[in-house]
Amino acid sequence: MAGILKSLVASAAVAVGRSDLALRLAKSTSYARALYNERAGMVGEPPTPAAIYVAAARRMDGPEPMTFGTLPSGEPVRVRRELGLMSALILGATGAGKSRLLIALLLEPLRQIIDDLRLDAHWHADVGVELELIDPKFETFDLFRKYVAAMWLGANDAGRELLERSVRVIDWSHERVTPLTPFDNHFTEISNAYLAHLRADVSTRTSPQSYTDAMRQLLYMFDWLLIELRYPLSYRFAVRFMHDAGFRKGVLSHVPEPEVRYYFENFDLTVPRQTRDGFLRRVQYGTSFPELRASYIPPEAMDKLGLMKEAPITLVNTACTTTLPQALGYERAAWRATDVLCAAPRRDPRRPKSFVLEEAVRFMEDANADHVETLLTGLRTLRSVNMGIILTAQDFSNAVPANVARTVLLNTTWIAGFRAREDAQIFWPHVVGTPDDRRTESARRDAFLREMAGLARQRYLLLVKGNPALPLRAPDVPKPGDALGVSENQLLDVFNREIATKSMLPTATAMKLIAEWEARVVEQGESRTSGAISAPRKLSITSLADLKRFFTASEEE
Amino acid sequence: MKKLTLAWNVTLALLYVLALPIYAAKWLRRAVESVFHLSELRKGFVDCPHCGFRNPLDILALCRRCGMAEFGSRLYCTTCRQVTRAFPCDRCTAAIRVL
Repeated sequence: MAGILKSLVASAAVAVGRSDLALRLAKSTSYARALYNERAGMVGEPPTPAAIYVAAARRMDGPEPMTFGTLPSGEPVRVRRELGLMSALILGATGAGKSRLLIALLLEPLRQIIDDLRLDAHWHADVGVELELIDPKFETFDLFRKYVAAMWLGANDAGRELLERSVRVIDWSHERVTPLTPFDNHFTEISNAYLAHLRADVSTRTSPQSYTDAMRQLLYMFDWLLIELRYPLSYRFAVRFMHDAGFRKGVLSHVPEPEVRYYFENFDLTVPRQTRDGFLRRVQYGTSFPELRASYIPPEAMDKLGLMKEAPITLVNTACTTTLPQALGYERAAWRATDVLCAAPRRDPRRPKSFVLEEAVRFMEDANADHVETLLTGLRTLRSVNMGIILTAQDFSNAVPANVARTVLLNTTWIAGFRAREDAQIFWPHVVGTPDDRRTESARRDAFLREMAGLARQRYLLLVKGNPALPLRAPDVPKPGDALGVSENQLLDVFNREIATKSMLPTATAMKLIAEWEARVVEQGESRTSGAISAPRKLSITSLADLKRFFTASEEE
Repeated sequence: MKKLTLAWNVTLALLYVLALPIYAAKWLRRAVESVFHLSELRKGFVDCPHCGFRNPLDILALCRRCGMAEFGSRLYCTTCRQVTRAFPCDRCTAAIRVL
């Protein structure tokens, strides 16, 4: 009876916010229990951080493990592949070891398959995993291609053949280019209109030039036109199409989409001349650099070239900082990323895929951009199709809009933090403290941030959700040519000769194909529609619009 | 004047009556929560929400305020009457909120 009364009073005390009364009432029980716990040895010394790390590492281990590095005690940390290939974020300053960790994680399964093939040439029919690397800063792309070349050199015939048909390169240089067909709709479930919207949205947001509403609309409709016709982006075509009404009419007669036809049929009335000229200046800027112009191969020519169109491993270099305007590189990176993410929901989930986006901060700067939304949706949903997105970033906490950063942090399964100060705050709640540390929390936190800001190369914190942050040393990755005794230039030669040629073609050939297309479509199009131009229609001027059309036609003549 | 005072008192009483269900709901919620908290306190253990470690509540506890070490609840110091609403997990040091 007394117990029940005590319990009721305690409940009432807590209900009115007097927890101390409830605890005071239970004082004698607590004393007895504390003594019991002490005698029973239930309260021992709390486990040391080292023991906590080892326990966490054991929880992460499992089938087909990926080695993430070693603990300070030397114990290796292996994470089961299913967990390791989930969406992740790698943070840290330049040169801290992010790219080497990526190489250690993502090329290991491929290396294993090549080694297996050395023992039995029929062991594997394909590479088993998929990888897409988009690098807007070249370094990681460069490292990956050298390691792939080193693998090719060390492989037997079966391994070499597998690498040659599994690795696709997307790159643009003076000598050779990967043909790009951004205005060719490969998707089965995306309409031409939406693809045009995606392309135009990326172009306007990545461009250093400003786009007015009218110009954005013109870009969208022009992209839609190119997609409808399967035409490449060509300045000559754009100029002729904008200025030659007869040619335009001829082109529009082949467009099946009435919306596009209607827009361009009334083009002279709806789009001011200044907008048109501004738009052409932007097209000219985008296609004036030979490496980029050469990549806009007509899709129909692309079909005949027999180049590799898709492969399990795709290495994309969109770095333009030293050779081309940076914005054009980001435009292409965003186009490619959007393509990969839009195709992902319909992929085969039996084969895991990692999509690595280097320098993701630049990519995610604009929270309202469609490609950012696509990426965030991908982070949330692509786990169901066995695809993980790995983002690498510097100064993530400051440079990315808060809502985007929050979504990324919520939807990544593991986070690796190399040398960085601000980004280290992400890890603080998960850092294991030493039990005898008597400093205040803020003092410990400051010390931790200082330590993270001066972290040595290769050292990082690994936070797998549901586990404490583990201080690791990333696996050692020897230089690509060291084991074989070949120089990096030799590796590049091998890569360009044996692997890149399957997906790239000489720039001169590409230019020739484009010139042929322009001669056929732009020039012959002129002869085909010349009748219409030479015999102008009689205009009956009954309104201001008719008058405007009359003067515009006169100027064009 | 008297009429005005009466009207004011009636309005006030009416307002109290109208507010009563809100206060009642609030008290009820707090009472339910207190039952939940008390059940944890009665068990004598709290599982860490982060690592799952079973932390005993009654130990040889050290008060963070006055430094007194005594056998009893780690949430209450009988000397300085300090109530601790949360404590760090014995295994992973993540904060566990109890009260």
